[in-house]
Amino acid sequence: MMNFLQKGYSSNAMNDVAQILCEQAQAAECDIYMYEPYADRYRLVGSTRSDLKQFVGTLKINSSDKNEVIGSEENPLPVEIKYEDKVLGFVVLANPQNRRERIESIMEGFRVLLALLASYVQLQDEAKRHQSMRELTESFYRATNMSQLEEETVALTSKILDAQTVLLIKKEDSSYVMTAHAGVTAEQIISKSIPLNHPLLSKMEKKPRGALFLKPKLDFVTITAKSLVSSPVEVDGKVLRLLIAVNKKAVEGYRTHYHFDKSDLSTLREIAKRFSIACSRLKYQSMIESENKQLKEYTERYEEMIRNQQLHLRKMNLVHSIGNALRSSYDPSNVYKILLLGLTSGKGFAFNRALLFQRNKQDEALIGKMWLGPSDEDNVMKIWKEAEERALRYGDFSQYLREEAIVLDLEKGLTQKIKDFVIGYRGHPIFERVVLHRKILHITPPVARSLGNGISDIVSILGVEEFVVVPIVGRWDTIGVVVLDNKFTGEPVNEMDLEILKIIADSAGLALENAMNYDELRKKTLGLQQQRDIIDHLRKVSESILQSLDTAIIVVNKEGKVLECNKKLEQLLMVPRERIVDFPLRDIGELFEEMDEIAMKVFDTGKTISLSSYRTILGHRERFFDIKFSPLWGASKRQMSGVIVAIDDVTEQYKLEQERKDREKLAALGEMSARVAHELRNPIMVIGGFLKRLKKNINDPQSRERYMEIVTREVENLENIVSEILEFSKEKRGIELNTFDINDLVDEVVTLMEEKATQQGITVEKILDPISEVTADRARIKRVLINLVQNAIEATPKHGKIRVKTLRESERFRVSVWNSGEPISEDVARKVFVPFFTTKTYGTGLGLAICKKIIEEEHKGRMWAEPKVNGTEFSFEIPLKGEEEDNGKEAQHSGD
Amino acid sequence: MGKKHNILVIDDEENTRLLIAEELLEAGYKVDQAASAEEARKKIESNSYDLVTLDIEMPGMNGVEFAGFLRKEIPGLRIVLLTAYSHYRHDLSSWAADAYVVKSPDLTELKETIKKLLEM
Repeated sequence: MMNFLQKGYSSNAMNDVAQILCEQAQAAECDIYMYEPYADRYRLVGSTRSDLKQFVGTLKINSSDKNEVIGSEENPLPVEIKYEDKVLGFVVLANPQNRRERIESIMEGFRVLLALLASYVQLQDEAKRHQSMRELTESFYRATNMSQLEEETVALTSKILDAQTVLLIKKEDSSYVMTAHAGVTAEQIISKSIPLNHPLLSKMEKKPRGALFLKPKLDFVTITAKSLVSSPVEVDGKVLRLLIAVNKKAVEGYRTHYHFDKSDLSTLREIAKRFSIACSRLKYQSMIESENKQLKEYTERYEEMIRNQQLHLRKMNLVHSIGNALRSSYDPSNVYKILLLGLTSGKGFAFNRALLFQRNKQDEALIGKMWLGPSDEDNVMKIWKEAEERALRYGDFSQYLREEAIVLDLEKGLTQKIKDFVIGYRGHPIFERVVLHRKILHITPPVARSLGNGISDIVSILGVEEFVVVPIVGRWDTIGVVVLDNKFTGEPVNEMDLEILKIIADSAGLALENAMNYDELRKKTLGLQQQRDIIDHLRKVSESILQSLDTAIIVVNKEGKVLECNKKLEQLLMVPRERIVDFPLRDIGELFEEMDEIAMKVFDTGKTISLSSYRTILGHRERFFDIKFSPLWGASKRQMSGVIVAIDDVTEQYKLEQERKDREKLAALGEMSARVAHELRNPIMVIGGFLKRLKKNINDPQSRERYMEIVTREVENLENIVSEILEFSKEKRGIELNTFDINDLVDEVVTLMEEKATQQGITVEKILDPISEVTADRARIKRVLINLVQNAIEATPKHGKIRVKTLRESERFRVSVWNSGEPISEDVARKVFVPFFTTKTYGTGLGLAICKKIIEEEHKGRMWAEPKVNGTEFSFEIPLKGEEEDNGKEAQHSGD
Repeated sequence: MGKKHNILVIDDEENTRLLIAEELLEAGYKVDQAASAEEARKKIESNSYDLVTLDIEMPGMNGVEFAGFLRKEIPGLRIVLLTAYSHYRHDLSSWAADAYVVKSPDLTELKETIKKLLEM
């Protein structure tokens, strides 16, 4: 029987069963018919009759014809087989011999067996269906999208229902659309889109519990439909799809039905329900997914917001740091540098470059001040890396800015390109708004292009079309403008930064204003301080001048009482100030006894009196002082309030001067000795030489005579020289002063020398002053005159001329002797009085030196020689009254 | 010594001149005298001298100047400077003059110097 069910008629299994039944019932023949309820007919499935065996599986008898067909021959009695009122089929037993009870019992067993088999098949089908349903459910859970779900549904429906074809049709607004299918090829589909008024589909739609159709007409696929089950798929009470299964697949083995039946329909409905749930699930899932997605988006947006917040916070921190650094400096240029550093540092706002213009309000112009950023495109990364490394050394960004600003040299690099570059902001498309309206402007390339030539000035400097222009605004007004760009990285400017830039710019403006104010204040203060210092200084100076002067100062009043004195005076007198001030000048010390008188003289005359090298003994030591008495005028300059006595100790200078004079004398003596030696050597050589010759030629009387003569003459010459040397080198000797007429002396000398002159054909002329009385040493003056006239005769060529002149002046008397000889040079005129300086053949060379000594040292006069146009003149002057020698004390009066 | 050497004695002191001249004549030279640089220049122009003795201290052009002049004008002329100053020696011997002799009653040094110079 199992064989029959699994393999069908062809197995002949039911023939064997019929044979068994036939034997058991002891009947002639046995036929077995099975009831096929879907067609309400019976089918022959097994027989013992050889003529009927060929019809097994094909012979079918309608229910109504059952008795007719089998009730006739040989009393065949169909034995109906029923199980629980359900007709399963019938058995025909021909001519059964066994007892009726036995036959019925056999039938009963067969009946139970069939029922069990039917139940088994049914259960097996049910189990398979449940298994498939589970698979379906699982696959529904697996499905993540509608098209996947639809594909799985049609495939599994086909499997569960053993359907040839499964279609899933979706109801859309204007038509039905086939969205999934199984067991049908693309060629078999006529149209995927079917109008909503399609009779079959709209009918299916209206059957909420599904429908079973036998041999329906399908016009959208080329399939001949034998049976069809359909079920609408409702979601939330609305038909969304139609699930259709067409034609049950032929199965191996026997089944009582071959078309879809009610159970298939209910299964399809189950599938549809599950599909509906799956759809809902998928819908919810997609809803959840979209919710999820949205939630994720929200999360992301939130995170982004947090990031932005953090960035903002960081930038606000930067603002704080930069602001701190800005406020820390009182040097405006430093403040600018800090600002630019903060804006360009990688740890700061990281702009590539920052260009600063200062505003000149009068000219309505912006002037290029400094520009920070890499000037060289090649080294950008290196420069930034280095700057970064420097910045990293500082924990505190503010500290970094302060210190970096100090070492930052902005005079070179980019600054050179814009230093003192001038842009007028009035009417400028960018700068007018920035400067006058204090707007931050973000210039983007499209904006830059639309502004075109109007901003070519700034664009050509920057070389970029995107930049930000930020005003630096102080308390009242815009101070300057910063232009920022990202030339090298080309990064667009972050809009958020613009807001923060505004804060920085304002902060910088205030800091700058403070710094500028401070600078101004500092300058003013410095000015004041300097003034105060100067006044202080002057006061101190005037105080200290008096005290620290190297000159001893003492001030006396008209009564001769000391009003003031300085430290130097205390030191000089070795007396404390208390013992000097308020004491009468004459009581202070020896030094001042004489001075009291001189001071009073100054009071009388109002003129300054000076004493030079005033000699005195102080503390047992010889001291020399230069002392100056000056009037001290009162404020009105009309009344003298005192006399200032300034005392300079010149002891050292005086002694040094004396030493110098001594040294000069020694040097002169040395030179003198050399000259004397020279003068003596000549006659000695001659005398010695001729004495030798005399000795040699002693026997030649002629030679002897000549040599003796020469030697005698040279000895006389030697004697002259020696006596003149003696005379010259003799200490200054006292002179015998007598008053006489100098004209008489001139006459006497000229007469004496006339003979010699006449011999040479020289005429001597005299021009004499009528008043000619002098007081001098007559003999000594005579000697000078003789010398001068004799020299004149020797210097005058034959037939020349000599002129002697006397001239009385106010306090002096002058005598000059002129000759018509060649004028001597200025050089010779100076040297001619030097001992042994001689230009003549005769004479010792001491004559003029002795004359000078007589006139200048003995008579305190003056003697000189000078070249004239046509000759040379020697002159001397002597005081009218013989000068008395003094001891070095001189008093000079000078008007003040 | 075939030909007699011609010497010019230049000195402003007549007796000095005489002494030197007599000594040199006796030594076998031909001797001329001049009392000043001026006079000497005239004599040198018209005569040819082998050697001059020259006093440094002379009125007019002094001996040192004149020696410089002679050295330039007459390259072959031997020049002997005579002076009472011993400290001139180092200054002068190096350039214009060929020799330098300090005045002394003994003329041996002078005569030997002259002899040496003329043999050169």
